[in-house]
Amino acid sequence: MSASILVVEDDAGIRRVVDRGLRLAGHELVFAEDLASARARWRDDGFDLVLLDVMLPDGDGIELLAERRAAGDATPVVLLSAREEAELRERASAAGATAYLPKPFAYGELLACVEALAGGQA
Amino acid sequence: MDERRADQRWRTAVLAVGGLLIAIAIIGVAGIVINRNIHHTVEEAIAFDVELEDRGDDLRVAILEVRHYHRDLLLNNPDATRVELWRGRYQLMIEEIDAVDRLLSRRPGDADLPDVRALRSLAEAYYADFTDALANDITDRDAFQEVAEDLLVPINEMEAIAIAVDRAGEIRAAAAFQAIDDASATGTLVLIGVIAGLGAMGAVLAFAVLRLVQDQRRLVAAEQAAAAQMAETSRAKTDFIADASHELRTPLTVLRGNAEVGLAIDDDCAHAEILSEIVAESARMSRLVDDLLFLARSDVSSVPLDLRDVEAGALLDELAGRAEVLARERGASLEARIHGAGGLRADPDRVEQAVLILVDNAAKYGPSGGTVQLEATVADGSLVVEVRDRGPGIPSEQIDRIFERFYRADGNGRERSSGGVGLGLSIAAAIAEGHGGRIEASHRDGGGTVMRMTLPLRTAAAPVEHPA
Repeated sequence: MSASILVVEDDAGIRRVVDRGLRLAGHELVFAEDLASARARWRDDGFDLVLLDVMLPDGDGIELLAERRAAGDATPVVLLSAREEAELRERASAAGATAYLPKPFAYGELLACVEALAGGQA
Repeated sequence: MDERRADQRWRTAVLAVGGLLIAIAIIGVAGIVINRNIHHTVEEAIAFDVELEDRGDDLRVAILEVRHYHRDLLLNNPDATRVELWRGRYQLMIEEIDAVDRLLSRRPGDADLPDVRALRSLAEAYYADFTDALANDITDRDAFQEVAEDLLVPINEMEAIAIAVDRAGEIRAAAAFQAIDDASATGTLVLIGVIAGLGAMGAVLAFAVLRLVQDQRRLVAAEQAAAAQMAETSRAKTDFIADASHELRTPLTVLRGNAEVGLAIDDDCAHAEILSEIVAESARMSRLVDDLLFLARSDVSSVPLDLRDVEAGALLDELAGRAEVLARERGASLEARIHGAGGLRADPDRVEQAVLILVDNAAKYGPSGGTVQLEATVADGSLVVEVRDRGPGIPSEQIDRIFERFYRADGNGRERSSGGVGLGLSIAAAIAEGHGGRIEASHRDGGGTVMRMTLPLRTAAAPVEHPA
């Protein structure tokens, strides 16, 4: 059960480990390093799941999420963040995030999250 | 430098106050002396000099009266009525002479005073002569008139003496009043001088006090600035720790994730053990970052707690089970005596974390295979949880510092390899304080350490919700 996943993440280390881990599980990955390219990819291609970092070099991931939700996009979105303040979680769920995965996350947690949200799409 | 200046100002102020007191005393003494001086002079003048002048005047009037009736007898028929009138005036004059005599006898040594004895003998001689003339020559009108004319001379002499007495009184009284004027002028001068001195000292005092107040204000301002600076530094440090902790989370994710993916690819390879260790150490580092963040947050604001109403007994029973597992992992056994009951307003996860930190420490630092005691009781409206070990104990000079951030008791075998960098106790203390309680360490009888956590129980009999 392979899913197509958009990973929006500016840290190359995270991109590589997510790439290795999820490719190993058989998923197809597309990467975006900033908000602008993520916005274009997300709009043009359909994805089964989006992994979205909150703090990006050109803006806030939650804003992109809100934008997509406003455009009627229902793709499951997992927010990734090193911050776990309650205020951030509230903003994320208000913007329509499906799940919230705080860094540092274990490979197992990431995999379980992806399987649960993207599994049905395959 | 500043202190010395302030010291000098204090000394000036004290000297000025002392000077003022002395000046007030001087004014008092000077006032009394001047007043007494004036009083004495006035008394003197009125008691003698002015009276002398008055008496001299009266005496002269009495002599003139005698002369008047003497002339009356000389010009008119000297009948018995006229003689009696003259005699009466003579008696009055003698009385005046007596009065002046009495007055002058109070100042026997004064050379400027006229001699009244001459006056008296003149008067007595005159009286005798005129009485003789009246007795013998009253019929011989010419002879009588001649004697009477002659006797006007002693009367005039007497008048001259009376005038002298009057003059002496006048001169003396004028001198006395001059003395009063002088004394009061001197007094005024002295008082003006003292008041000027007082004013000067007051000005010095006011200046010194003003400078002192300024110094104090500057000092307070400097202290406030220093305190603000310290608070700012502390906040900056805390912010830095929080930022650094957040930054650490991303590489930690990469580190751990790569090791885990490596294990997922092949968990039976030669590197599996290495990768497992990387995973374990990353997990430990993640916990450390969490602890750092918790402490950083509890530094800048209140401890982030999720407070709920919980029943202490149930919470502790559950906790004791976990503590037992933890102690066993550390190679120790746990002896739990839970007698605590009552309602707590608490974050159960954080309370558990605090107690487990204490148990973990006790198991780590106690002798291998030793027993850790966990005892909970209720005392004075508080839940008291004690954790006791038989470890090497904490040196007395360090026992108050072990709850400080990043402090770690030295020289008693607590090494880095035993885990943690001294955050545990700080976190436990922050949790207890966040609940309005505290943690204290003390020496255990027979060796070892007692950690006592006190948490206030809810006083109101509010409904208690048992944790599921």
